[in-house]
Amino acid sequence: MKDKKYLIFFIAIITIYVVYEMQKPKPEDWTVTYHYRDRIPFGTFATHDLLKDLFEQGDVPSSFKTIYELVEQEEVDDNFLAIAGNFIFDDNDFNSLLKHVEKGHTVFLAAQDFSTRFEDSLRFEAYLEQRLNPSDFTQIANELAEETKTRVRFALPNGNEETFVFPTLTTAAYFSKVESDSITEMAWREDGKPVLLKYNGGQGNLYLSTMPLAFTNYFVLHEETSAFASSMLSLLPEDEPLMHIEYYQMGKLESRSEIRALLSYPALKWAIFILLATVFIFILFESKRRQRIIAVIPPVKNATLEFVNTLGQLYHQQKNHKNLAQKRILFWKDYVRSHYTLRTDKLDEAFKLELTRKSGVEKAKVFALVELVERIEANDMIEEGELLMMEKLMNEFYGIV
Amino acid sequence: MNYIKSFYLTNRFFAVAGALVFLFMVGFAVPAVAAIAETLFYLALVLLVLDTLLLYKQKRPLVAERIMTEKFSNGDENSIQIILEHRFQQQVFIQVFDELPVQFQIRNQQFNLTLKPGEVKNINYSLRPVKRGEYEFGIINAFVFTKLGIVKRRFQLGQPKVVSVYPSFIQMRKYELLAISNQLQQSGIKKIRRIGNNMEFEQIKNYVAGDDYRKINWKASARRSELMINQFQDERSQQVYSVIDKGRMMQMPFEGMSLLDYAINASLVISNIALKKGDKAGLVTFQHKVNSVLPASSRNMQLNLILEHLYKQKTAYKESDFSQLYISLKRKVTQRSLILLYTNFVSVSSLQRQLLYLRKINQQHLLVCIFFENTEVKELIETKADSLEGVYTKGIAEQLAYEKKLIMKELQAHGIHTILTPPKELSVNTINKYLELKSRGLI
Repeated sequence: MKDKKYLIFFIAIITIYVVYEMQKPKPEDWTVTYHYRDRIPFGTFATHDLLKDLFEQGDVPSSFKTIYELVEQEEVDDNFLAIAGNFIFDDNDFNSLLKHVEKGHTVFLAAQDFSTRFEDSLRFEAYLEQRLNPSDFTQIANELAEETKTRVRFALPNGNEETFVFPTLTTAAYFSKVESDSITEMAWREDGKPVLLKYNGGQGNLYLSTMPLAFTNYFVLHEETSAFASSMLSLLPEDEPLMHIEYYQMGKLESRSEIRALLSYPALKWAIFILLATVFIFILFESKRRQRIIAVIPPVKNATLEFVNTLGQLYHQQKNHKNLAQKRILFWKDYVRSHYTLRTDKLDEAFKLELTRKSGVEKAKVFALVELVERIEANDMIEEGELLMMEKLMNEFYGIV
Repeated sequence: MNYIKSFYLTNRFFAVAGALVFLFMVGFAVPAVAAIAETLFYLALVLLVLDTLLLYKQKRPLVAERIMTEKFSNGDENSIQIILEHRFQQQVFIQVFDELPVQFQIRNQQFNLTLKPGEVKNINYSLRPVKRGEYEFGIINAFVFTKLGIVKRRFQLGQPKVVSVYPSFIQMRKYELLAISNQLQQSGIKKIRRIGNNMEFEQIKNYVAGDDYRKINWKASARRSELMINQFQDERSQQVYSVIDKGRMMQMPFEGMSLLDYAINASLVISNIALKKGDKAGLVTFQHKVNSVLPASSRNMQLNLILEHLYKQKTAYKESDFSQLYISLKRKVTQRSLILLYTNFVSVSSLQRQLLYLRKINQQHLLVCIFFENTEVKELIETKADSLEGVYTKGIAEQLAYEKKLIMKELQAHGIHTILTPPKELSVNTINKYLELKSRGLI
């Protein structure tokens, strides 16, 4: 009953704590993820949702593979959309990308930073004025709240121009240098720096934007800015299949866990599953009681030996050998009196002979012991060696092995 | 639910699982082994199901019963029997965990049995309680497994039972039989030559060396042409009181049993013998004051009364007060009696404090002071010391042992009889003293 009371009390406390935690206003999570499942301000859930309406295919699939893998290994025939903080491309990726575009596909890449390999080949440069400190949420919130805005001019393919107003944070990156003839600028900040490029390669187009943030939930859902994202997305032909590549901001999802690598081998998979199941079963079944609980009752201790040891140590610290020797002699004499009915007031020659005869101990040993006893009784001080010698002789006399 | 509760797994199960894991790991390198391992895995699964079915086919295939006496005897081995009967159709192995009373503190008791179909087996074991009181036995847990030995099924059998641990009635019966058949010599009880005499004639018997030659019946000797002697009857209806000190000094345990319980056991033995010899037995217990007085009597009921009285004794192990004892005896025991006082003194000075009261008691009664040799100290004395500190410790131990002798001498100097005995030999030594005093006619 008592235990139950505690249990109820404990559960109540936990419940109160959980409710309290749920009630507490959560601080806004300003992490920049560009992830299509994240509903936080800088996730791209809204964009992904938007894609559904913009394209005929409906749901746009997400892929966690590199462009190289998609193009060379899986021979995907879709247009690509990729939104990331910065693109880190290797040669394979880059070559596959260009090949894909040349074949007549449209690719849209949005990032604040492009790898040098990329920039060198297409002969442009992207420059990031101010990098976001991803952990400093208050700074981000403050910047967004500030009045400083930048206008972005967007030349639509149909010849019209539209202007959008963004917080400066969004337009921190721009293309500082564009040297290639096959690149056309499509959108500019108010100071004329381009933020959207179109590269014409072969039969297809490659769009590069320095404003990935424009695709995040915060700006897509914001009335003033949402049109910019959809305008940029409308550059992708709506009747062709599109694929959202998440690899460049997320990495390969499945490659992250090491256990997954092990699990890809059937034999190891068996081993691991059997091992885990056995451990689980072991915990479940071996923790069951085999008999009732036996409460611990400390046994009553016989403290005599402890007492004797403590006293022995105390006397030992005093090092009064003579005193101790006398105690031992008293005991010995009593032993002699009660076992051999001999008088012990005089330890003379007759006594020694009689004791030898009665005890059956070797004559020399009895004589040595009695003489030692006499010597100890006569002296005021005795040596440690004599005490040890007496122990040895007495053991022989008593027959202690 | 019951099925799950009674379902246990054996070590073999885990061994097989471990082996399979190992095989699969080898199979990672050698694919052929993996194929074998997979087959073995399914085989093991089949065996697991089969084993479970074998064990759970019948509803109540095992019965067990614990057989033991209602009362246990304190300080003795008490036997217990468990009878197991089963209806399995194949040979089964059974692990039995009997739920023992908590006082024994035994946690590792386990019996392993093999039963053929239809076989009945007994488990016999014994327990030695060292405290009086109620002991609670629980149920019998039996774990059954077959030759496959993958699954164990638990059975909870038998009934919980409470037994009372009484002062050692086993010893009582043992010494009673010996006393009746005059075989007390066997367990180290020495024959006491009759020194005293009594005028109540009993019989004429053959002279044996050591008999008092003044009592030779010359006429009878002449008739039989061998020496005959008159034998006189023992005095009867004398009072024998067992006085038990329940104070602080009696708490010390030897072989797990406190001195108090040794004293209680010895009191029961001596009371029984006194009653058998036609004397009256009584009981007094005290610590800081006198707790109970059972007047001496030789009625039929008396032994049972003494037993119940001794069973109920409780104590707080306070400092014993001998003046209270003296007052109580003076007031309640008016007839000259044999007083067997079970107590313990450690030093002469502690005796000196009580000596006055003991002498006073001895004036009116015949007092026998019974106290205990410390066998642990004795053991220490009889071992070699290997260091100077060891020599010192041994010296102190010898002093303690010597002190006991001094106590004995001090008491004897005041005409008080003493018994200095190791706890184990208490009963025997007390009986000897009783018989000696009786034959000397000192009461």
